This record gives sequence, structure tokens and C-alpha cells, in this order.
Amino acid sequence: MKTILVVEDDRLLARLVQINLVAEGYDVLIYNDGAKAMAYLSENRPDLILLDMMLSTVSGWDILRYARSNSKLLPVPILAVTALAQKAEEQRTLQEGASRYLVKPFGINQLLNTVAELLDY
Amino acid sequence: MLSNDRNALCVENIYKRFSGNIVLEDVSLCLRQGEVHVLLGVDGSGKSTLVKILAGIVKADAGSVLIDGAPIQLNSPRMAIRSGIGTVFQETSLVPDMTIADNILLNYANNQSRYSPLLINWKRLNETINEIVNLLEVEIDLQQLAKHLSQPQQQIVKIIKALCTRPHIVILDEPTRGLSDVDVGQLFRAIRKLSRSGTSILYISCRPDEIPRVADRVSVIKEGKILGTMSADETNLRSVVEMLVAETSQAMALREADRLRREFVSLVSHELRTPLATIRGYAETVMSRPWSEEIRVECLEAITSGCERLTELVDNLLDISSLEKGILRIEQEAVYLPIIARDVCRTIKSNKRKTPNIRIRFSEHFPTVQADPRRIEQVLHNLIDNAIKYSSPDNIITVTGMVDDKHSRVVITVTDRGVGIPPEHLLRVFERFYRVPSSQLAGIEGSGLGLAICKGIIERHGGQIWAKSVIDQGSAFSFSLPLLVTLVQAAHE
Repeated sequence: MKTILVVEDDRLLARLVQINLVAEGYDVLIYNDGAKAMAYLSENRPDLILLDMMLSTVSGWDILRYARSNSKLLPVPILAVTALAQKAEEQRTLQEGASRYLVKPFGINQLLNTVAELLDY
Repeated sequence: MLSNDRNALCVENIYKRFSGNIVLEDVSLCLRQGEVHVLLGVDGSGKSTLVKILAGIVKADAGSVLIDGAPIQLNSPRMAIRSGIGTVFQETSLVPDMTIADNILLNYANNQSRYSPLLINWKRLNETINEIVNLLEVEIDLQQLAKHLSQPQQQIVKIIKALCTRPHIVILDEPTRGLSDVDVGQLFRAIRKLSRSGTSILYISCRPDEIPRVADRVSVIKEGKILGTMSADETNLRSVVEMLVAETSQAMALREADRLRREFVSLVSHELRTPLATIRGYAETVMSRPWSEEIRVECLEAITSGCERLTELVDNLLDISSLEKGILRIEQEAVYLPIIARDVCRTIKSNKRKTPNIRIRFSEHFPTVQADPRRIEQVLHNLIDNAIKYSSPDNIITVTGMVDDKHSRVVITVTDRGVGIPPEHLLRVFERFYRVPSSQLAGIEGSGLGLAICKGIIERHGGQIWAKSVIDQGSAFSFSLPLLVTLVQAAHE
């Protein structure tokens, strides 16, 4: 079973993602707090990271940089989720090493298809 | 003083923008014949731009300039001079190694249409210079090198230079900058003599203290707008200074509004998109599969919660914008706070599944205050809601009310035993969109507008709001409402 780490500080959105991913048969782990997610990543390697970029203390950017500078985590696809709709923001996120980019409010099919694509690689 | 009501120069509805910034906005100003008219403003108020427009260096975007009642075109410095406007610029200086006579000639020659040394009527120029020197009663050796002149003498030579073109309007752009007080006296005498001879003078200044010494009339310019024109005898220096300062706070309000606009964009991105994502996501989810009853209820509850969050945000934005514009309506009624506190707690308890224990403690014989009950309810609701949000459900929240006789006010305090607020953030919690960054608070939603609105409402009531907090022990948010009105009422009874 594929493990997906969800880092999202909005509890309702984290739960939304969880309901849908679990129904698809994935193992889902949720962290509302960036620092705790980082601690998890230092010892574990999920199959995919779903990462909200706007976290309050340790930001999505910090986690993204950490994951991309760590050889063990380097191959793990990262799906960045953000409320920032600017094109520049998208480019920056992809340059920093995110595999794909979703803007809130995203559709459920869009989410599930993107996750499936990323895990197929 | 020869000043009379005839206008030598009129500036009408001048507008000027530089790279999108409005520098002059609807500037109108009239210079009476023979008067010294001070245009007073701080640096950056647009006065130098007006000087440049009148000198034909900068073209206004809109508006007109009239001389003796007739509109003129000011497309070049030469046209300004021909129209009878002589300008003494702040930034120009004399050529140090040339004689004064040559310095004056340099300016004169530059501004003649077909300049050739042969075409200059030397005799007439010399007469003109002598006339001006006599008029201003200055003693200056024209054969002296400019570098040997004292600073006020240099200023006077700059004025003589400008006067050689026989202007009937002279613009002096901050001529006293860098001059000592004694030097200023010498310069002012020359200016007064010039005005007595019938020349109209627009004197640009940033110093209100110069008004009684030199001006007939004063116009105050601020942020590119003329705030008013008054006669120098009637001018109360303090009121002029207040005019300048008052407008500065308007400039601050503008900057603040700009900051708000920028924050609004990021707010729209985050605070609107997050509940939208909730609503869309759960709505699509509930329709996508034959879910269990439990999950379906969960989805519908999440949708409701997303809608509530959006509604709250819209309400908050409307409130903050009314507060901003000063149009938030505050009704004045006799309000008995213990009842409001009880009602608010009841509402909160009925809305939430799990709430901490809320204790209400008001001192005996609590007085009524004059306030808007709906707004005070909103403040209390917000403070209690925050106390619940930032502490665990098994905590105790206290709402206390006491009378502070010394300051004739009542003080209401909402205390929690929650996570507390670090001191460096405590002062900022009342700022719009400010949220304390902390991993403990991750997942607690809020737009960062609630406390800013509370502050606005309480201040509109003439009260104050403040917070105290100890990390991991809890926070206490207090607000005061003045008792003055009720005391006055009591005295009548």
C-alpha cells in the first residue's frame, strides 16, 4: 500500500484529502504542523508528499527545500497545494522541486488524478 | 505695501503626475500684484514641481496659468521669462570663478532669443543692473568674483540675475535654505523692497516662522493640494503648523490604506480560497461515491462550516471597511453589560458542541453604560470565541466586569488559561490581518480581523482595549467603556 504524507494546517481540508485518498486505497498520514512533518520526514520515506505551502511556522517551502536536499527523499514526488494563484508563485514552487502544483479550490478528480499520475512514475 | 486685489498671476486647477504618483492635485493659487505670497509646505509636498511648471521647465498635465487675467503657454523657460516670470531656483548656484557681472550676463544671454554678444545692448543691461542694485539697496561690487561673496550675497545676486529679464512676477524657491538668521534679515529686506516696487513675489518656504517676517499672504500646500490661503496678519502660526501636521496623518492613513490593499490581495488568496476549497471539495466528495451515512454527514457539516467561515469573513471585511471609512454606526443606548455577557455565553454554548466552562463575574451594582449593545455583544463574542479557540476544552474561561472609579470607566476582562501570546506579538494582535505565528496554533482558523474590529468598535465608544498574556498560562483581554455619560445622568437625577 502506498503511503501519502499530507501536510496541511487547515483541519477540514486535511480531512477532505484523507477521506478521498483512503477511499482510493492509499495509506494516509496527516500533519497539521510543518515542524512535526519535518521530524517525520527525517526518519521516514512516504511514497508521495501532499504539501500545503502556506503553513504558519515551518513553511511548505522549508519542507520542499529539505526534501530536495535529502538524497533519500529526492525521488519522492511532491504535490504542492496552495491558495496563491499567481503564475510566478507556481513557477517558483516548481523550480524549488515540487513535482506538480494545485491551486485551491481544487476539484476532487483533479486531486485524485494528479496523485495517481505521480505515483505511476 | 502696494498689494491690491488685482491678480498678477493665477494658477488654476493644475494637475501633475510623475510615474503614476499624483504630485499636484487641482492646485489653484492667485498671486496679487505687489504681494509677497508664501507657499508653505514640507519637502515632497509638490511646491518645487509648481515652481518648475511656472518656470516652464515642467509641463502640467492639466490646468491653466493666467497672467494679468490672460492665459499663457509655458512650454519652455524662455516662454516663462517672456511672460514676465523670473525664477530663482534653489539648486542653481553662481559660477564661482566668474565675476558677478559675468554671472548675471550668463543668465541674461541664455534667455535672449537670438543670442550674440553683438546683439546685447550692454548699456541697457548695465543700467538695468544698476537700477536693481539701487532698488534693493544692496552694496555689491559687480566686478568681484562670485566665489568671494557671502551666502546671502550670493542669494541676492541670484535674485538680481532673475530680475535682469524685467519680470513682474518673481518666484523664490526656498531662498533662505542654508542661511543664518542675520543673513536672512538682509535677504528679507531686499524682498520687501522688491515687492514695494510693484513686483509680485511667490515665496516658496518650508518654515512657518518666516511668515510674519516676509509674507502678505500664505497658502499651505500638502500632498500636492492647497489646503488654504490666508492673510499673514490673520495667520495663527500654530494653526498653520497644525494644518501641516494634520495632513501628515492623512498621508499616514493613505499609506495604511495601501498596506491594507496589499494585505487584502493575500487575504483574498488565502482566506477566501481555503473555505471555498472546503465547500467545493466536500460537495464533490459527497456526490462522488456511495459513502456511509457518517461520512456524508461529515461532508455536509464541513460544507456548512465553510459557508459560515465565508460569511464571517464577509461580515468582518464590511466592518473593517466601515471602521476604516469612519462610517461604522454606533448607537447609544443604556446597556447593562452583565446581561450582554450572559447572552453571548449562551449563544456560544448553543453554537458549539464542546465549550469550556465560562464563568461570569461582575461586581455588585454594576452601572449601565452608554453603548451600542449589538457592537459590544460582537466584541465580547469575539473575545470569548478567541479564548475558546486558543485553549483546550477542559479549561476555564472567566468574564469579569468591574468599575474603575478613578478613571470613571468600566473594565471588562476575558481571561483564559490557554496557550498565551509571546510578548513580541502581544502588541500586534490588534493589527489587521495579524496572526501570531506558532506551531501550537496550527490549524486554528481566523482571518486576523476580529481583534482589529474589536479595537475599532471600542475606540469608537471612547474606550480602550488591551491584552496581557503569559506563555502557557493564558491571556487576558480587557476593554474599557467610559462612565462619563451615566455619571452626568446620575447628577441630573
